[in-house]
Amino acid sequence: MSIGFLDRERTVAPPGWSRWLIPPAALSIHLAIGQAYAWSVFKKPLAATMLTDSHHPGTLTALPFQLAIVMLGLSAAVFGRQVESRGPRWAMAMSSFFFVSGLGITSLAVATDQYWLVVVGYGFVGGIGLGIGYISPVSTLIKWFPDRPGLATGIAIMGFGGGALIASPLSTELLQHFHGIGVGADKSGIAKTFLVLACSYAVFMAMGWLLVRVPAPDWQAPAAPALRVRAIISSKSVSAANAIKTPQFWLLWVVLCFNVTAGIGVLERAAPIYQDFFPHATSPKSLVAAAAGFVAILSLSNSTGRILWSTTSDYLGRKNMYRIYLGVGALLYLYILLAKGDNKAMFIIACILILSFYGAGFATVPAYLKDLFGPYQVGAIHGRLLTAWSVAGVLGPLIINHVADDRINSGHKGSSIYSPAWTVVIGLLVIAFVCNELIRPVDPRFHEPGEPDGPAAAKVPAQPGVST
Amino acid sequence: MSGEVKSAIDQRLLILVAWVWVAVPFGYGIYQLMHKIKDLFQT
Repeated sequence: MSIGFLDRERTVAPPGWSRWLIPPAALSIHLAIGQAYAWSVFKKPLAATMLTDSHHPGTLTALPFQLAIVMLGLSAAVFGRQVESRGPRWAMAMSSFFFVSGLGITSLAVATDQYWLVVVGYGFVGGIGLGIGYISPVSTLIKWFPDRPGLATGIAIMGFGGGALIASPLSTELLQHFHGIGVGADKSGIAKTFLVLACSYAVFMAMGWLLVRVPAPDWQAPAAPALRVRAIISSKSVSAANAIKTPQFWLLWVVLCFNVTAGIGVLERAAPIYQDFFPHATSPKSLVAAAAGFVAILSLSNSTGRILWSTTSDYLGRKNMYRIYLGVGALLYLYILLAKGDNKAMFIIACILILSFYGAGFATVPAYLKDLFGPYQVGAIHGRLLTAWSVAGVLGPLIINHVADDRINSGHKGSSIYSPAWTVVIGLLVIAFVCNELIRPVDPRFHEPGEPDGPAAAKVPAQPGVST
Repeated sequence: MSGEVKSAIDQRLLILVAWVWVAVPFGYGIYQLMHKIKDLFQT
């Protein structure tokens, strides 16, 4: 297969090509790379087999996930322009290569008992695959669905949230099948699990880069129903270079960073958090199964929150949606802090809502950027904003794991292990809420002269409500 | 059958296959979730 096959020119959709072929192509990439959210399933097996001498197994087993998220943000920012110029097929193929290689290296690392290589393989190599894969379908779907940006980004990013829904039970079953988990857990079982995952995802992701197409320059989206006028929505364009000079970009950066920090710490340590809050089970095996169920249900809410709340933002407005994500999110964390797991059902409902807001924060932000800066270079601006995710990928797990490890070492048990962490998270959400309140329309001096959509943008039908 | 009609049928088949490709593993995830929700509340 020549490199030409991956070129953007080879992926221009022929006349009559249905845009409804693009969401499954995007989903095949995002559902795969969303496996990262199931990392917590591997934390205890790795700690029990490779980190038996460590006093900070929670922090150490978080490292591969943290580095993967850091690399996600960095590679999205660095490769954003290349993804635009080389096209989604190249991006999806590169994403598949790096992501599958990362899993393969992790398998080798576990088999040879080299934990540093687990961090490098899963975190560094796999993380590059996450970043390139994350932005490639987002940008492409925005071009195919310019009439409904919230819905489009919700579809694209929903898959990333849903990845753990598949990976969590699959990984648990594989670990049990290969004896990589539980009493007498064996490293080779964990290595085999990663190897099977690598092979499976290589096949699954192929559909994405084989099927994806970009719209032809003369393609027009179907006319959309009129949206309500919102003061913050601009039809003027701001370049990526100018966007980072505006206070709006940095306020939104803080909003995304702290919203992600609040959710990612819980996600990354979901299984251990559940086991610490509710340690009483009929057997260790049933506790592991329940914890895996907790990971899965969080993954489902993370995924459905993306499509549900992001689509709602097309009607309620982005700023109002972030008021809900951040304000209600802070109140839910306050409930978890005060209730201390007294009521399991309420604890789970609170976590479900928190994770739905977490996912929605990701899914709504490209449309928020499009509202503020116009569609001209929204892909590149989005890539730069994802550096907030990199910071949050370190900050969230660091807060939760560092606090938890220290509290466990000082003799705390149960829900009290996490109390200081919840307090910090509430403070971050309040700061983010204030930042969202401070966001105003961009100063006209940052607008690009001439055509608002720029020369390369896909044609968008006129929408009466989408104007300043 | 004209080429245009055949092309439309092929496209619909492709859409079906593409959605099934992602729906099957997603359905597996949902199925497993339903089983685990019971475990989640019974432990």
